[in-house]
This record gives sequence, structure tokens and C-alpha cells, in this order.
Amino acid sequence: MPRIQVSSPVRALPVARVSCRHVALLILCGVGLVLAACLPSMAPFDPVSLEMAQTLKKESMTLIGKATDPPNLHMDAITQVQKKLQDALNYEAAKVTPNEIAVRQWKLLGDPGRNLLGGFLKKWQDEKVGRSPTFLTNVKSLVSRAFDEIIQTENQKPKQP
Amino acid sequence: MGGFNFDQFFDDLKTGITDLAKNDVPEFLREATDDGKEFLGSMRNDLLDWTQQLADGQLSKDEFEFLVKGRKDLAKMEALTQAGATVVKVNQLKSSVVSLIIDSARQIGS
Repeated sequence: MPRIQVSSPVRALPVARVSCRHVALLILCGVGLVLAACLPSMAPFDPVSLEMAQTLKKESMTLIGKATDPPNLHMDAITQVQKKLQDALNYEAAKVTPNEIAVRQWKLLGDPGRNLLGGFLKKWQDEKVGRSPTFLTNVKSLVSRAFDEIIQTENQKPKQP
Repeated sequence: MGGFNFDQFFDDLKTGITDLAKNDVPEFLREATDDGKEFLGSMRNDLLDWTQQLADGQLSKDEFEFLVKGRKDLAKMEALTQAGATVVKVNQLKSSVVSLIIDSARQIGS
């Protein structure tokens, strides 16, 4: 293979050698910046989010446990939980750092068109009757596990931004 | 549970998944079948309870349907949690690579 002639003048000039170092430095920094820019965005751990999920989980479990009664006996509590679900969703969605996973989880949990907490509260209100203890035990299990997923999502976020 | 055979019911569901995959996504038969069976497997304990309660009359068909759909929603939440964990790990790896590059660059510059 023919020897590349370009390398000789570079070796001969100390100024050129420094320039090569600088070029390499610039390239590495550039690669570093590109990598940093490509990092998937994720909001850092937020103790307020964690507390919100834990508190609402307890309140929701208590409310579901009362659903052997007709819903009209617990309208204030139902409205409160629905409002807190919406507040939690708004809080997560308003974060500056993208927080898509937590937002999507809160949407699933609170959506009245689905079959977790929001869907259960809608079903209870629409059908206007108390539910069987067996059904409620199962709903509590599902909703409890759904809250646990949100709590785990928050807990696994980086502790420092 | 009077006359209800859960294992047979569960095996029928597995066969049903293969048939669904053949009809709906024949080009991805193996992947779709595997995903479907994995999802079904994750629901097994819940289905065992709920089908027994349905057979015993403790759950109505409407309630059973609500729970199965709720389990599907829960599976989506579980998948999101896993996705979040992956993002965190990728973030950590890329941060380490960035640190490595910066440390290496310092040595070049010195």
C-alpha cells in the first residue's frame, strides 16, 4: 500500500500537532454533545408525585371498599377522588422535563372509558347500585396494582436531575 | 367448582390465540403467538380466580368482562413501567459514555 504523504509535514510542524489534538478534542466533545442530546428525556424523581400517588391509592381503596352501597351515599368522596385523579394528571403533564410514561399511566388509571379506577367509578355511578364484595375485592386488587405501577415508575426515576 | 375445568379452558384460550394470529397477522405468526401467550400467562392467576367466581355465580358476566378488560389496562401500565426502567438504564449508559469521552478528551488536551 503506498504511504500517505500528508503525514510528514504534520509531524514536522509542532503547531500542526497541537491542531490535531484540538481537532480530536473537538470531535470527541462533538460526539459527547450529540450523545447528550440524544438522551431520552425523563423527569427526575419527584417526592410530591410519589406522595400524591400513595395518598390517592389509600383514598381509592377506602372508597372502593364502600361501593357495596349505592353511589349516591358517597358522591362527595367520588367527586373528590375524580378531581384528585385529574389534578395528578395535570401535575404530571405540566412538568417541564418530558414525563410521558407517568402521564400515560395516570391517563389509563383515571380514564372513565377504561376499566381501572376511572372506569370503575363511572360504572358505579351509571348503574346506581351497590356492588358485590367479590367484585369489589377484584377491582381493589387491579386498582391497587395499577397505583403500584405508577409508584414504581416514580421510584425508578433518577434521584438527581 | 361444578363441572368447570380451568386447565381445559386455559388450553382452549392458548389454541384460540394461535388461530387469531393465523387469521390476523399470518406474516408475524410466531411473534404474535408468543406475545399473546405471554400476555395470557401473565393473566393466569387472575383468570383462575375470576372464572371460578363466574362459575360459582359470585361474579356476573358483565363484572367478569370489566375485570378482564381492566387486566388488559393493567398490562399496559406494567409495560409502561418497564419502558421507563429501560429509559433510565439507557440514560445511565449514555451518561457513562459521555463521561468516558470527556475524560479521554482531557487526556488528549493535556
